[in-house]
Amino acid sequence: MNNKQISSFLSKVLTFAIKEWNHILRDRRSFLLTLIFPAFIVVFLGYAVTLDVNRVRIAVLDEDGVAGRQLEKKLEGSTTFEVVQVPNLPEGIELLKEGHVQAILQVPRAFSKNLFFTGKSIISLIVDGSDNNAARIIMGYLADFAGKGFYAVRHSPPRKTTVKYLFNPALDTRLFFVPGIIAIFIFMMAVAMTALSIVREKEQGTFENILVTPVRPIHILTGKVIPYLLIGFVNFFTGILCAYLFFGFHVYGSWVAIAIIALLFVACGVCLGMLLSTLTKSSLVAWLLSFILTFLPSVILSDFVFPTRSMPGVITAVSWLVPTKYFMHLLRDISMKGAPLDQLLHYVLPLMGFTFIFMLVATRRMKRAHAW
Amino acid sequence: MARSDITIRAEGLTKRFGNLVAVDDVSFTVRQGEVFGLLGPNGAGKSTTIRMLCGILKPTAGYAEIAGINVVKTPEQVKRTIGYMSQRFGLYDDLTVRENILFYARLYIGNWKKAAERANEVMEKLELHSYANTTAGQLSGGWRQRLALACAITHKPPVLFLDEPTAGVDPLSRRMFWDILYDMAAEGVTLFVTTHYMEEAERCDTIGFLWHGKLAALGSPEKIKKTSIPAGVYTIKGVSPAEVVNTLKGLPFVAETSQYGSEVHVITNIPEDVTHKIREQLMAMGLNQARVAPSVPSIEDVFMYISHEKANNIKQNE
Repeated sequence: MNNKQISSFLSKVLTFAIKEWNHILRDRRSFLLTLIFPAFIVVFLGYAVTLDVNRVRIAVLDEDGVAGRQLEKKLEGSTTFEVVQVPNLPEGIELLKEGHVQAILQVPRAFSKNLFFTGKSIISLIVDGSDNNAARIIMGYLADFAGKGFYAVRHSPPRKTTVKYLFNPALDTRLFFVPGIIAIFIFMMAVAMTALSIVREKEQGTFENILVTPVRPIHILTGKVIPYLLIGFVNFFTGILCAYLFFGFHVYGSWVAIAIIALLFVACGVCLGMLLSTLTKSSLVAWLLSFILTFLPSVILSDFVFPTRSMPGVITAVSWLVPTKYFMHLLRDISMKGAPLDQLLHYVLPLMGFTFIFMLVATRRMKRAHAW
Repeated sequence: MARSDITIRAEGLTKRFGNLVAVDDVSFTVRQGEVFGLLGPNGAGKSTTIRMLCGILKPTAGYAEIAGINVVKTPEQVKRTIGYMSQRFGLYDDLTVRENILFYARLYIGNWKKAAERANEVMEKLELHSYANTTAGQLSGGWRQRLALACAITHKPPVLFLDEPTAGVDPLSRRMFWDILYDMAAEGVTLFVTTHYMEEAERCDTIGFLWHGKLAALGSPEKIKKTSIPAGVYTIKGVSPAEVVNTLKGLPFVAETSQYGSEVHVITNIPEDVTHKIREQLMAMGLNQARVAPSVPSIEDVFMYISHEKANNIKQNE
């Protein structure tokens, strides 16, 4: 390409980019919503999406009278539990059934005596298993508590296992989920906005007018990509900023690496949007396609919550076709573990591959649709 | 006529969509500065023909040439030579008049300063200046039509294709629009217009009538009116048109009857004068007040006749 061809290419691409900006800016309300949306999603869902158990109401049935009171004090001192005293087991079960408490801790008669003399004693824990995730966590907490709780009673210190959690020391599940939420939403928005912007032109008949001008599909696609790439990129950092302000999200790795993968991921979404736009002429269908193809796979098959590794083999294989999965790992590894980008090429390269393939197929399909 | 005069040439242009033959072996030429009207009912293949000539739809067979450029071989080269105004106007409703024009100007003209100058020029020419900052969606039909035209001529194309440019526009705006088109033709621009308004056909230098993808008539409106109907056309006035139609329909010498307000036009299929026969038939039905007179066919009569003949031929062939 010589200079003249390059300037002609740029002129056409920029013409489309500017026109697209004009569309976006004209609809001011939608534009503001687009900018605020990720912040809203992160803050709102960030508070909602957590597997941590807080303010668990627990019934304590103290038949021992000594150790029980001690345990109770400990429990009350934590923010995790709210203690309710029950005089007997049936009453405790009743509370459990009604959902007033999620667990009953029964300290049997002669508990401290046995402990003191034999070093062994049994307490029983009855947990509401209908919410099995919460049940498992409560069990974990209480077992931990019970172990430490009688340190003072037993005169010799118990053997302790020291567990140190690397990368997310407080094991705050929000720090795990919030980047995932950001990933899911910027991807969906990038896909949908791009797909719609092209399909709308087909619907309005403006697309045909463009085809009669001396432009090529590559001009149209490249020009349309620019604004949505920019919006997606800004949205991503809005989300990250909110995660930092509200949930103390911290990037241990390189910000440059984060920016690079974010740009790549948004580009991937935008290219997928272009590809989808070649499949339909209706906005409604474009919307549905964008939603179905991005949202559900991003939530279910991206290791966002559900570990794909423990899924049946076929599904695990399919999950490697979900771009969000690569980004999810990249984002967590860079921000939480501080991993350098060159060690994450096995995630970066496939994402680049997807982007390239989407772009290629989209241009091909567009060319073929208007092939001479 | 010198060969270089010919701006648009179509030879055996054909487009098939699966089993459907949308355009069937269509040939014609258009001279420079001529206003060519392609007429025909909806679905006759008008838009398909235009789209093939504009280089956005590949013909199944045939040859097309615009200003010496082979459209079939080099469709991209044609695009700089032509302007295209589509049926649906193809405007961006949320963009202003200036933004719409500037968008097209920039696509054609790489130099943005020149593009802006040209956009102003076009706005001035089509008197769109006072609407420069109005969004296209707020414009009325007539102004939208002008804006669509403005977008199509930013690069001063020597050939302009207009696909039903007057659809859904009020008569006054339509007339003004045609005045603009005549001005352009006078400046040497070749205009290729499709329409289904028959009165607009009379405004063209040459018309082609498409019927089921075939070019059923071609020539100046005068020539077509004189030569296309081998038989006679009669006008009947003074009595209830509905009753006249009922009486005459189905008579062996009547090819077509159509009602125009209080008149009925009758097209016959024999060359002899049948004024008396018609009068007798009407009298027999008690329509004594009827005034029957031979008349010059209108373009609409011609097209009604052609459609009728073609339909009959198809029936006979089956």
